This record gives sequence, C-alpha cells and structure tokens, in this order.
Amino acid sequence: MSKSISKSTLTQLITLSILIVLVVVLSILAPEFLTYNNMMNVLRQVTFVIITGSAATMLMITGHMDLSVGSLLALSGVVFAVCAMNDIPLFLAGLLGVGVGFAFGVLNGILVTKLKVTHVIATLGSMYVARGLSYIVTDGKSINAGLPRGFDSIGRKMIGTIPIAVIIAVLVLLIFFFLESKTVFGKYAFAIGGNKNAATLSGIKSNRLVLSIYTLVGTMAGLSGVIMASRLGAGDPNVGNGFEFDCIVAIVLGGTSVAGGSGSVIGMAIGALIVGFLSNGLNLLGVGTFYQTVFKGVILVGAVLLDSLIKKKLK
Amino acid sequence: MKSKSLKRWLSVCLAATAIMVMTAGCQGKEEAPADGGASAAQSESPQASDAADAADKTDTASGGKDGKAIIGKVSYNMNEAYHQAECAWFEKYAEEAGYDTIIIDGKVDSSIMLNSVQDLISKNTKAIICQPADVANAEALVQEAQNADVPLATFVNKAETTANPHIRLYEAPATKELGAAAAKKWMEWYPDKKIVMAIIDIPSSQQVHEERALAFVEGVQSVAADAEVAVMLDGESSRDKSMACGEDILQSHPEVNMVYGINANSVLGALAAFEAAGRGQAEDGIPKTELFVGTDGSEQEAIKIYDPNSSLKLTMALSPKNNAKTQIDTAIQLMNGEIDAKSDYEVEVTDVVLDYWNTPIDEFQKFLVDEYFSEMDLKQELGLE
Repeated sequence: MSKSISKSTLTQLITLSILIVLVVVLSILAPEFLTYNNMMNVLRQVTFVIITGSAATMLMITGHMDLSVGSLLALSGVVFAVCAMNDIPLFLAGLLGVGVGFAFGVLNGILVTKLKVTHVIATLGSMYVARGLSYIVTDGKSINAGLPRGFDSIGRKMIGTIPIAVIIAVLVLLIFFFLESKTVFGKYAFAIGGNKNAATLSGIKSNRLVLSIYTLVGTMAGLSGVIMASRLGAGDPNVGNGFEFDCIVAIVLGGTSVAGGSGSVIGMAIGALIVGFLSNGLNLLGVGTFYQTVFKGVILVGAVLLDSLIKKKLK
Repeated sequence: MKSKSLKRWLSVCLAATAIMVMTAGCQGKEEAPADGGASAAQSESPQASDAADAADKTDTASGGKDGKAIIGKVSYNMNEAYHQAECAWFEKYAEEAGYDTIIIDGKVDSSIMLNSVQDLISKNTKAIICQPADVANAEALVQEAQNADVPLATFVNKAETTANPHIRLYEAPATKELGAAAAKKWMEWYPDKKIVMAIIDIPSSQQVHEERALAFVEGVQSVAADAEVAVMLDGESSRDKSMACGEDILQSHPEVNMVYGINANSVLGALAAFEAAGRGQAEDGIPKTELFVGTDGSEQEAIKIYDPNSSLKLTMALSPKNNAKTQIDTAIQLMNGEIDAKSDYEVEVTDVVLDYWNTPIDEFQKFLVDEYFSEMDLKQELGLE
C-alpha cells in the first residue's frame, strides 16, 4: 500500500470494500436486490441519514454530537404540514419547517458554546423539547387532512427516473464534501476536533465555528423533516425515533472518530448505504425481525473491528 | 500483539455469529408455531383448499421458495404478544394455502412501514397486508402499493381518501359490552360508590382512542350514568410508562375506583403501581378498592383475572388466529381478482369479552392455547392443581 494514501482515504476504501462485498453477497442471495427499482428504494430510504449525517459528520469531526436530530426531523415535518394545511404557500411552509431546525440548531450551538452545557445534555434537552412540541402542535395525531396538492412533491416525485429527494441528498453531500475538504471551514473543524485548545490558541474562533456547525445540523435535520413529511404525505409527530442513532451508526461506520479530529462525509454516505442495503437485503431475504437486530449490531461492531485490524496490518 | 490477536479472534467470532444469525433468521420463518400445528390443521377447510388452488394459479415468478407466490405483511409491532401470535398464524395459514410469506416489523413507525412496503414491492410480493401506524400512514402505504400495482389491504387503520380494501377491527361493541359489564359488577358490589375511572390510553391511535378508550367509557356510562372519568393518560403501550401513569393516578386521583387499560401492557403496568401501593387487591374475586379492566387476553392478564386476590377481573380479547385467517383470505381474494385492489371493500373482525365470573378457567386456557400457542398451564400457575 502506497504511503501516499492517507488514513482517511484508507478508511473509506475499507468501508467501500465492505459495501461492495455486501452488495455482491445480497445480489447472489436475493435476485430482486440488484434491480433499478430496489436500488432507488434504498437510496430514498437513506436520503434522510445522508442529508442530516453530512452536517452531523462535520460536527462529530469537531468532537461534538447532536442527539436532537430525530425530534427535529419530526417537529420540522409537522410544522411544514401545519403551515401547508393553513394555506401558506408550499415553498414558504417548507422554509418554515427548515427554519425550525435552523432555530434549534442555533439554540443547541448557544447552549454548548456560550452557556457551556455539555453537548450530550444540551442536545438531549432539545430532543425532548422538540418531540414535546411536535406532539403539542399536532395534538399527538398525524396531520394529513387538508394538505394541498403538491405537498408530496419533494418526497415522492421524480426528475426523470431519479427521486427528487435523492437528488437533494446528493447535492447536500457534495456541498458538505466541498466544505470539508476544500475550505478553511473544514480544515478548522478538523483542527478543533484534534485539539480545541491548540486550535483556539492558533487564532481559530472555535466557538463560532462549532455554533455554525450546530446550526447546519439543525437546518439539515429540518430539511430531512420536510422531505420526510412530504414522502409520508403527512406530518407525523412519531417519526424519527432512533434517527439520531441511525446517523451516528452511519458516521462511525464511515470512519469518523467519536472523539473528533478525523472522519469524512463521503465515508458517512458509504456507511449509510451499508446500513440501508443491509436492512433492505435482510427484508428481501425474509430474515426474522429479531435476528435482523442482532445481525445489524454484529455488522456494526465487525466493520469497525475489521477496519482497525486492516489498518494495523498495513502499518 | 496481544490486542491484535484478541481483535482477530473477536472478528472471527463476530463473523461466525453473523452467519449463524442469518442462517437461523432465514430458517426461523419456516418453523411451525409451537402448538399451532394441531389447531391450524383443524381449521383446514374448503376455503383453504380453494386457496391452495389459487396459489397454483397465481403467477409464480415471484421469488418465493419452490416458485411459490409471496404474501407480504407489515406487522404493527412485533414486540407485543398479540402481534407475534398474529404473525405466526399468518405464516401458518399462508403455508396451508400454498404461499410463502415475508413479514416485516413496522415498529409503529410510519417511515419504517413505508420502507417495508417498498421492500415488499421489490420482492415481487403478490399481495400485502399491513397494519399502518395511523390513518395518515395508511394513505401513504396504499398509494405506494397502488402506484406499483401491488394489491394492499390495510388492517385497523384505513386510508381516508384513497379507496382500498380494508379489514376493520370493529371493537366498539365489544368494548361497550366490557364497560357495561364492569359497571354492573361494581354497582352490584358497591351501589353507593360513584364510579370514577382512570384510562390508560394511546391518544395518538385514533382506533384505540375511539373504539377502546371512549367506547369503554360509553359502556360504563350506559349502566352508571353518573360515572365520570377522572383522568386519561398516555401509557404509550409500554409496561413501564403505564406503571408511571398508575403511580401518578395514585397521587393525583386516589379516589379512582375503575382502571381501564387499552392493552395488556397498559393495564398490567398500572396494576403493578397500585399493587406496589398496597391497592389492586380483591377478596374472593371482589375488588377491595378498584376494579381493573384490560384488553388483549394475554397469559399475564389471565393469571391476574383468575387470581381471586387480584382486582383485574375482565379483559377484551383479540383473536390473532381469526384476524390472521381473515388477512390471508383477503390477500388470496385480492390476488385472484375477487376483490378489486382499488375498491372500498371492507370486512370486519371483532373481539370477545372474557371475565372471571362468566368464562370458565378451562375456556380461557383453551383460548390461550388456540390463539397464542400458549404452553402455560393456567391452573398450575395459579396453584390450583
């Protein structure tokens, strides 16, 4: 292995290899797996993780985490539905939904950077507040009555043969890939995650940068919520339970360190695809639901172990 | 070096576990339910053999084992005894009729349910039965299936604007009967004590709220017009959350003398809180301070109902066997074209009331064995043998 290949690239190659092996195995076991329609299904299913995970990866690179994204997804979706139901133009309703995510992102950022609340506690608090608000707004029930025509466009419609949601996810991924690898913003994020004190002493405005990434995470969770509501054709306050863990799993599978300082947005996307393909493949194979849960846990730990083993071997 | 070798061993073990789990998972669905064989075999009927013929007629290029067509099912929540039993019967009846099945756990999550329906469509299932998370979710699932030309029938929650075949769980009459029976008993024991109810509900489920919680109250008030509801709390269908609700009721409304739980977890959780506080007791089957009423007809409810010292004395039992049979029959009719997949066809299934006074213990035991594949000996559990 050439020395010019960085640790991050190596991690991505390993994760990509796992994804390829998984696709090959599932294609052999389930003939329906490798069809265009099924691939689009999986892509549509991982859209939300990729959109939110793109920003959350940057956040984890700085050594922070956001546990409120699942609840923000639900709240943004119901706000979008309520606004649309009340004759607010769809585009504006969508913006308001995303805006709710943005506002919570700012709040999380302020709590962590200005008020010095631990990131786990701050975002856990937001998680409860956002979930509670979604129930209050909807009175605990899904909203689908009185939604205007076109509400489901962004979640269900296609451009050509590609779902709009997938196109949005790819665009978001590319933007964050650019931010991470081609801008000072990305380099500073790595520096903060590597050593926050050193980064601050060298003139990086760490708090401001972390606050802006929290805002991005909230905004992306809001965007995911709007797309989710559109896909479901309803504002459902119950969606997104465990979504924060789906994002964390994809990010960690993609080689991002929970402690910060290393990671990649592309790796997260590969991680999201691994989880998506695995879940879809196991369903197609008719694997029992309880076994699936065990299997996913085994794959997660196994992939991370394999990654670490191969890296050591190559050293 | 040591850590390297440990990691290597761990990797090998994880890989082996993954293979075993996958193998076991794939095989698990073919195993007959523990006790279902005998009961299900008895139910072999002309309809079942018609169904088998239908299976032969159905296009078999669907990827099922031995070329069998596949019926898909998205279960509401596989963590609950009722749904586990319903899925086991679903598989059993499908197998008898000559079909394969794929059952996916919807986990009461509308996005998981939509993903599951898409997966089933990818698998070329010939019909799908689904209990959506709620009415709004039903709309999305039906549209997804109809766009892919795969017939889908909903169970419990029906799409409101898109016409689709539906299996209606018509519970209100049984719940009203349950409420009326509970009120009659209470007034028989304590004619001077006004009934004050607490309901452990799931308000987010329209079906449950209307056909169980509200119907129960209506049933009670049909007998005791002055009966009132002190509090209605969300137990989230979880035992621990319902126990917390029970504890809260004891603090805020200690005067409550009738507690209704919309499922087994709800009533057993609340009862556990009352028992911990020294209440929830009965003497010779007559509750001392309050009467508990449940829903589901599970093993654990049965143990409490036939315990003369427990104040849980009635339940409304669902029939996983009958409901699964209706689901399979509907799926077969959809595949045969006997039911239009875009019509408002509706078939009803109902519940039954079981209680301490009118249902002999042997009858409840038979119900558990027939419906839930129960291996529990109720009398032995209660120390009656």
